[in-house]
Amino acid sequence: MSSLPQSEVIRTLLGGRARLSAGFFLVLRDAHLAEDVFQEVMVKALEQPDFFTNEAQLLSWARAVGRNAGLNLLRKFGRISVGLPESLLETLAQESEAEVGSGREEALAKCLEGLPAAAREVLELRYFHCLSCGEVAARTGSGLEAVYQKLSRLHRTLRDCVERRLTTFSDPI
Amino acid sequence: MKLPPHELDALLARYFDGSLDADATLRLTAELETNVESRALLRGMAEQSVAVAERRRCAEARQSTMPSVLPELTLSEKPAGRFSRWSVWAVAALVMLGLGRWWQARTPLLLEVMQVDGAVTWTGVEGTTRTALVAGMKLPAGTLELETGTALAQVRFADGTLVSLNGRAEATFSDEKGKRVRLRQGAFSAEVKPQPKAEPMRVFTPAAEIVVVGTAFSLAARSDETSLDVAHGVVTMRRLADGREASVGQQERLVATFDPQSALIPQAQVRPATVWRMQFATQPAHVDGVWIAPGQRHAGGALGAQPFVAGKERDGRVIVHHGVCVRDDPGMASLTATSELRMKVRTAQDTGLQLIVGTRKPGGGFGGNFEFIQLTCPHSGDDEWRELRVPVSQLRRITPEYAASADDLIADFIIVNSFTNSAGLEVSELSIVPNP
Repeated sequence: MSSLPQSEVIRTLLGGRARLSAGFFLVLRDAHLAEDVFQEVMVKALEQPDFFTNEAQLLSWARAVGRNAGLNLLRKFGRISVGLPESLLETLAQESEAEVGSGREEALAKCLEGLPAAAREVLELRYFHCLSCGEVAARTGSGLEAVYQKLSRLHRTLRDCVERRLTTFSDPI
Repeated sequence: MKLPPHELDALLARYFDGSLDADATLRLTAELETNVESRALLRGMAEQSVAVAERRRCAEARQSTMPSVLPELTLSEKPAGRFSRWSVWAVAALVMLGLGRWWQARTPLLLEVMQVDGAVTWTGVEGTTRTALVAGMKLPAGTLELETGTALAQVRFADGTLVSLNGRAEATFSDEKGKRVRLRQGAFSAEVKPQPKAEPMRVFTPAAEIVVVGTAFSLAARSDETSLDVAHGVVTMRRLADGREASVGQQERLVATFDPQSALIPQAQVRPATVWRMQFATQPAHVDGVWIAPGQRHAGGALGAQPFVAGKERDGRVIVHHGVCVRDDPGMASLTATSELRMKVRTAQDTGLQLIVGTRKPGGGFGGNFEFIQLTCPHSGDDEWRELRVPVSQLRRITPEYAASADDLIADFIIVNSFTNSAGLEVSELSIVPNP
């Protein structure tokens, strides 16, 4: 059986970057570490020419290798994951793969653009600056519960926005 | 049963914040396993979180076009990950490459990092400190310090001699008419390529000096005692208390202490039994924890949790867990597929517990670390002890490059901890038994 050329390996992994990184984020709960893991997966994949025979095998391999790398990183930083079982993480990853090509990433980018600046700032404090909710609360002068509720509301707002955009743009005119 | 939206939101927000306790994690897991909509919500949150960080990284990369000087991270700043733009990576890589070459040119390199896991720091002889060690990095003479019980580091000399450190350990490497290692504490193993007879490798510990011409061996060094196990070849051990020497051969073991009256005769290595038990009626040696004497709080003795460094954040902050660590020399028990770890514990509040088992190979050398994290312990009444049992087959490896399962390895240490939660954890008995 012929193997995927290196250019195809890169294209497939970069194409799946958002979904793979989101899967690693579920383990790590740190967007930067998730990105680091994605890069590590890229490097490992490129070190194995002739190993991958199709895209599905490559993505399945990337999910497994990334999850393990994520767990190792957690241990390296002493953050033991009281996390979700592997079987559940795999189910989540497979369901995410099923949404390939649905335009979800573009819709999400547009929805993020449309958020008020103050709302984006809370999200960035939490996910870009990696502050804990307690630290976000201290920084914004809010209570911890209020931060939890605000983040939950923002996530639901973004989800509704993405669904709306996907429905709107996929409806036949 | 489907959770109400506000409860699901609360669980998910706390899960991402890392503040969900074990019981709540089980509730969330049950919900996610049975409800596809909840899974979609969780996936959406993860995608959004990654997208927020990516969007901001891209914005910063756009602003920082071709920086002439890379900004330096300060301890007070949280690392902001890597820029996504290839051009920025390329500039950073070139700068790092240049710095690396300059550094290499002015300091002779001695070691190559093969593997690192956990909080490991390297300090050069001139005081330079590096915490972000990665495989492939070249190091000059200096000190490797492993700061946690589960840390490990493997380095290689230019001739292929391989040295591994695991657990809390500190060793200084240099080259002075042969390889020199000063092992202040910790577990150390080495596969030494043949050395020139006039310039053998020497390892110094607080209690002994080991002279190696070419062999595989492991050492465990404490402040008052050094034990040497030789896998193959011959190693000379000199006891510093009186200068006496002994040759230690294949599959032999020798312990050097500060007592010059004790025998210095190598013994055949004996594989530990499959049954092991430790209670705390008398003050135990080589444990981490607060000893509670019999009658002090309970009829029998116990070991109480104490804070310990479990890891380090990227900004240098330490992560503190609370627990106990028990070791037994020369190894606790030989593990088999049917072995079961049992512990009698009590806690002052409901908490999740983590069990970590460190192992070594029967012939010597690090075998791998394993863990079990799905332990929960409801708070206990006065003098009420709960027995928790974990089959060895349920342990999950946390050092992927080593054995996949703990069968056929020898248990070296056990850590029981309640993570960051100081839950008043106390342990009255630990045992390993074959489960019929």
